[in-house]
Amino acid sequence: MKKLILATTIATLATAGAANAATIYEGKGLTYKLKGDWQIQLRKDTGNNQEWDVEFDDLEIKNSVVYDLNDDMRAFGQLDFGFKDAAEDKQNGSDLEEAYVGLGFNNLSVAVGKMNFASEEFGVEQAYELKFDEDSFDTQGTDGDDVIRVDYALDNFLLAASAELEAKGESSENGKFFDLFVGGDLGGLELAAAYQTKEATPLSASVDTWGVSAAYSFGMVKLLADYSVIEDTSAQYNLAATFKVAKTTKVALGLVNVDPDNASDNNEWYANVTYKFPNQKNVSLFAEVADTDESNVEMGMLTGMRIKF
Amino acid sequence: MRLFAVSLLLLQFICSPSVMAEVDLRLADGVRMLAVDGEELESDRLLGAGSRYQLDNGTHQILVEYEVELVSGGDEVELETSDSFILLFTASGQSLRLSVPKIDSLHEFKTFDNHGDWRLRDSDGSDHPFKLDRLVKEGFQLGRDYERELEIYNSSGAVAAYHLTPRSVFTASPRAMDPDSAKQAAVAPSSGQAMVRQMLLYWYNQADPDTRRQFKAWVSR
Repeated sequence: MKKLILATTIATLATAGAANAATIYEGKGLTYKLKGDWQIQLRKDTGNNQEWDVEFDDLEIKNSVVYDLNDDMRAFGQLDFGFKDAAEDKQNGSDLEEAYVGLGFNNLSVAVGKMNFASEEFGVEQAYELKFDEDSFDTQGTDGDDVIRVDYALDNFLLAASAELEAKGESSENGKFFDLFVGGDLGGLELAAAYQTKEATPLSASVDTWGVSAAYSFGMVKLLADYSVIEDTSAQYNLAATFKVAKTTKVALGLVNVDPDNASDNNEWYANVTYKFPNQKNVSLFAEVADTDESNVEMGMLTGMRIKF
Repeated sequence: MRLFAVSLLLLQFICSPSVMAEVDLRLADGVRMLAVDGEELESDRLLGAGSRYQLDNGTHQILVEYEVELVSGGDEVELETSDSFILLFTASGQSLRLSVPKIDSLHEFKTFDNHGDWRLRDSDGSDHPFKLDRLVKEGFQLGRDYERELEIYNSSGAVAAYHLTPRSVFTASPRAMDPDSAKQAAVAPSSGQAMVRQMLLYWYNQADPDTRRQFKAWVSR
């Protein structure tokens, strides 16, 4: 699920001094936070001949360390693990999801390691689970192992750029990417744009992807839309609306359209409801139904619980 | 006529806001009350609101924090919680609302947490005066004892300190006190040095035997 809220990602995650419920240690310029995001679903996927099963999405443990070097400068590191594949007996490789270190100077930060690309910030869809990809960037890939990323963040503006090194011949070889993201809030209207150029292999031609998005909140109702294109391949748009029906409860409706250049387009719709316990907003219950207009596809549904700390 | 005038005055007095016995304190969404007047609040109501409190007229010290969900790194949503802030205010028969600025990004959250930009407002929207400070604890943050920390804070003379009556942080347990310090405690303090003496006694009783030995050696020089 994505939100077009200006996320000042690595730049301000790397901030010492904000003690919170996940802060394990704080003192002498060091802050160590431990966070988790555990979500378990009882789910029947959208598709053909799908059965109910228990899905784990996600089972994350995140370790964040920040050192204050002086008034304006900080060093940070992040180590995130995800265990959902292991929980579903689909283990193939490491459980490590992100691992990076970096330096921050006021509103600017530079990080190096295994992490998300700048284009991962893009997108407005509000589903818990989708049969289609979230957007065109999701189709092309939005994370890597040899990433250098720069973020510049203000209160209502984010500019991010990232590069995934080719690492030709190395075990972490993953293609070569360059991504850009820019987003701003103009009097309540949230606008964003993203761009990616990808060379899947050293011999392949580069493929460009671009996208734009907008969102506006009318009090309890928020409308969101995005449009993204993979050059000479496909186009995709997302339309979504969220309704805060009560202090604890939010409803989301959405439509996803994927239009390949050489085939007919397909639509997927979804509707979900989320309830957060008033005394503990980090505990929530949710349910969702979804379906596509593809042939031989049955409606999917899920219900689940999420605990964050 | 005279009876009517007296009745009118009496009615005016009864209806006057200053006669109302309580302060109605409402917390904006995301604001959590951790302690009131030195006592930690229990939060065991699954469906409880915990967003409205009735306080006696007078001065109160509250310990609060702000919690918000923010997007971090794409479609990840993380829960961010601010530092623990102490607010000291005086009110009588008023309805007050405690809130924070609009926060939609991690950067805005960091700005709020760094500056402590809390807002305490009357029912007509005007700012209500208060003193503000942070309750800081260095070291491991798990299992914080807010009551203990507030006792120490309130005996420090800090900007939002409030001298509460019931529990004294300087009530030493028999185990912690050695005969010398017990003798000192029995001496009535002079007014100007009372706080200093209490602080010295408290920290001496918190120290382990090795630290006490070192301190005594330093005093003896």
